[in-house]
Amino acid sequence: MVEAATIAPPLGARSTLGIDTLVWGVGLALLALFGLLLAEMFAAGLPVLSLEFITGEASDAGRSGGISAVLVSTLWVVALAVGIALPLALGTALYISEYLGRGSTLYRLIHGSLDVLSAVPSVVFGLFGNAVFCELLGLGYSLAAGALTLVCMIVPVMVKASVDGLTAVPTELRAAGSALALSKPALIGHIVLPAALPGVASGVLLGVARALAETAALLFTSGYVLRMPDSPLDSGRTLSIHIYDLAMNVAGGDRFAYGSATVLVILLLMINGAIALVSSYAHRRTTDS
Amino acid sequence: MGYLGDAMDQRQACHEPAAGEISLCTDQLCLSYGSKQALEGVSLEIKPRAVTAIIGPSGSGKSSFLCCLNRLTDLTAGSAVSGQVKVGSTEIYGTQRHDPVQLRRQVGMVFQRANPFPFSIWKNLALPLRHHGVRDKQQLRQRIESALQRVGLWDEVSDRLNTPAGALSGGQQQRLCIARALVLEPSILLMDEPCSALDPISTQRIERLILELKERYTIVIVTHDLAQARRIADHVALFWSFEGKGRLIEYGPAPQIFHHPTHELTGAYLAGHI
Amino acid sequence: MVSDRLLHSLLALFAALAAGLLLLVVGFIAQEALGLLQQLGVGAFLFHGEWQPYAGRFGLLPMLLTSLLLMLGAVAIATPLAVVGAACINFYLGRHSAILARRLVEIAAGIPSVVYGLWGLTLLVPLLAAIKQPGASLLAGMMVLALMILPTIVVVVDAGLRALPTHYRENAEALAIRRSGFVFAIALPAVRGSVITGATLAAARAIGETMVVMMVTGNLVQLPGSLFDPVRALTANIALEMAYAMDEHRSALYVSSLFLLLFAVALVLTNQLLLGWRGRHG
Ligand SMILES: Nc1ncnc2c1ncn2[C@@H]1O[C@H](COP(=O)(O)OP(=O)(O)O)[C@@H](O)[C@H]1O
Ligand SMILES: [Mg+2]
Repeated sequence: MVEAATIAPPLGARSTLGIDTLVWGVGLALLALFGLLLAEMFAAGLPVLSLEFITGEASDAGRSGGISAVLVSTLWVVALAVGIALPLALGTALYISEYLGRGSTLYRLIHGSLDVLSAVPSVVFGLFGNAVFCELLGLGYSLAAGALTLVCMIVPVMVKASVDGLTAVPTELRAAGSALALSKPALIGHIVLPAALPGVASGVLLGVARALAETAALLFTSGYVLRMPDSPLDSGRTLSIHIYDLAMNVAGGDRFAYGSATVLVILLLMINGAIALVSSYAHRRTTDS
Repeated sequence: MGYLGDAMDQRQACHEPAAGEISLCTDQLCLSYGSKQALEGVSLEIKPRAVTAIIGPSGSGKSSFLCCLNRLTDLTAGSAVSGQVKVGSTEIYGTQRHDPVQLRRQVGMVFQRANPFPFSIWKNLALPLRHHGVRDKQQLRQRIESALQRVGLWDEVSDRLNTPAGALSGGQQQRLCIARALVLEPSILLMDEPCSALDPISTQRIERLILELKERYTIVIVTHDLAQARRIADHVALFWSFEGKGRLIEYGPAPQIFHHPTHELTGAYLAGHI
Repeated sequence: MVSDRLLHSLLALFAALAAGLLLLVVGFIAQEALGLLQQLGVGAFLFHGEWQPYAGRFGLLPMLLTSLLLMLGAVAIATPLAVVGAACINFYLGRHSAILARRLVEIAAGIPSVVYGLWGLTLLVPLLAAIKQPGASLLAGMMVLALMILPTIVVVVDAGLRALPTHYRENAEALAIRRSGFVFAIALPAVRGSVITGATLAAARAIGETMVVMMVTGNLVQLPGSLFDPVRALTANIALEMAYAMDEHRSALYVSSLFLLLFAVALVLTNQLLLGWRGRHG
């Protein structure tokens, strides 16, 4: 006789409480750790922030005064680097996505070398930049040399974001343009690029973020003179180098190191926010039509 | 003149065009996407200033055929065409490199899904005109107005030409796309299921428009709506897929195809048995 | 309007320039390094422990080992924590807290390494120093590096988990599998590719990192005897000596750059190969 089926008894009474607790514990501890670190930084840094700190001149090796020279140097380096990298990256991205077939050898070659380039340690770029831009090109320790070094580092990031933006342009738009007998340059200029603008914009912002965060590659290219630069051919110290120098080489520089770190992180947060805005705008635009 | 031609006559599918008309015909046209063959041996001669409807089950290569006629296949990486497509006296896949941009000025296209550019109504129409050399503001205005008049959109949008085209209704967007194809004054108009995403009223408008347009244009329209083909087509071509390869199985004047089909598949398809 | 040919050539030129940057960097470093490498042989760098640039002794072994240990330690600490963290965000936190948590992780992933170095230097090193002097040590380096790469791994694994088809979860529920069982037996194994990607990316970042290790490891060239010994990593060595190195000494720095470069490239290529292999073999 076959017995009537009964509801299965619980297999193994093992409780999963232990595992659940572990996951909760690790997860919350990690989040708390990062939260606390950020809070610590703001707690130490925000009190330092003032108009005087942002616009004033540094004195006493950076222990007092302000960081105006540092901010100006940072602006020079970032603007130059992104300004030079943008046409290069955009041109490359256009070539890859509009003229090369996916999976062609050339496509893989360019992509592969950019992938590798983005994995090269930044101190190696520093050594390279020092030898090539500072010495070979004779730029010396200068904001321009630092910017050129950064160009090598941010091009891969910007190409990748731009290619993503370009490939996201709907094929219907390309077909519509082609069917209207637009030439390829016109198709790219009037249809594809405007539609890919959000992707390109976030590529630029990523490049800015990368340039702002970089330290090691700049130590021996842009230098670390704490003076207001008159031109990009002067040496100057960016925010990240300023933080490093205050923390490592200036006794009692911690307070202002945290102040500068706060400024840097706030700038990066603003860039993050801008990227989020741009991509939500792009999202809205594509779902609208 | 024969439609499919007898087997003997196949090589001679493309006749000399009558004077003053841009003829369109294909001969032994084959198309493959990579290793997948989508079209095999399609030979037909499109009649000028008439509506030719291309019908057939989905996947039988109707859209692919249309894309061969203005070389839109160029956009698909890995696609390969063999055989002939002749527009006027030009063999568009011929050995001497033919400029597809010139071709596409003569052969306009309207797609299944309305695809206005993400610009204003005005700019959607002005962009192709400007690109092809119309700079004069007065002339631009005139040609845009007449294109919009022709698709019956002028009265509806003349007061908001600067609003985004994406804000129009589906039917309006599709008529805008037709107007956009017409501003360049092509002689041949290709339409790929232009009404399949539209409501009956918009469909009716577009059908009326097609009947008006055939006075001046050669129209090739893909449709899966047999009733629509009956309403607007002068000639009908039926495509069928054999093991994934699209072939032309019957081609002739609409009344003949609808009332006395010769191919047994045609009869079954029209009767809705397949 | 520019012609198609012109635009094509122009863009091809840009692409060649961009891709050529890699050749330029690698070529330059290799060219500067090869002379000394040929003169002394690879063995003189790899298997010798003495770094006395002024005496012509360029043994990289202690710094090479330090770099490897730092990388392995950091990845070993960070990966399991990051994986569990990503699981927590995906399957334990509620919708809104998960969004907040992701924001926090993204922010942490974008914080410059010099700020991690600052945290390590001012918060962790004194703590370790209280246990055993001097505080700046191999362990400090591992911990701060782990902290720095952790958000990156979380981001990658989280993306993998989010891309899992929802029916996995539904099927598991229907089979009366508990949440923890689902997470550890189904979800995490299903995204092991993402875990590998995240860990390799993180490893490449860790071995190439300069600022953190320079700030928290003490920069003493020696084979570490314990976790609490101060050490110097390959990257830190380049940054510390670049300013004044001349001639052979400078070439030796290029040799260490070449090693670093090869290592980072190997990591990226391994990752690509693994991804490609997984792509082909399911
Ligand atoms: N871009 C493409 N790549 C590969 N195969 C395609 C592509 N476009 C269409 N096909 C294939 O070609 C065949 C014909 O497609 P299509 O011309 O769209 O048919 P229809 O318009 O009659 O429905 C189908 O089997 C389809 O899968
Ligand atoms: Mg179709």
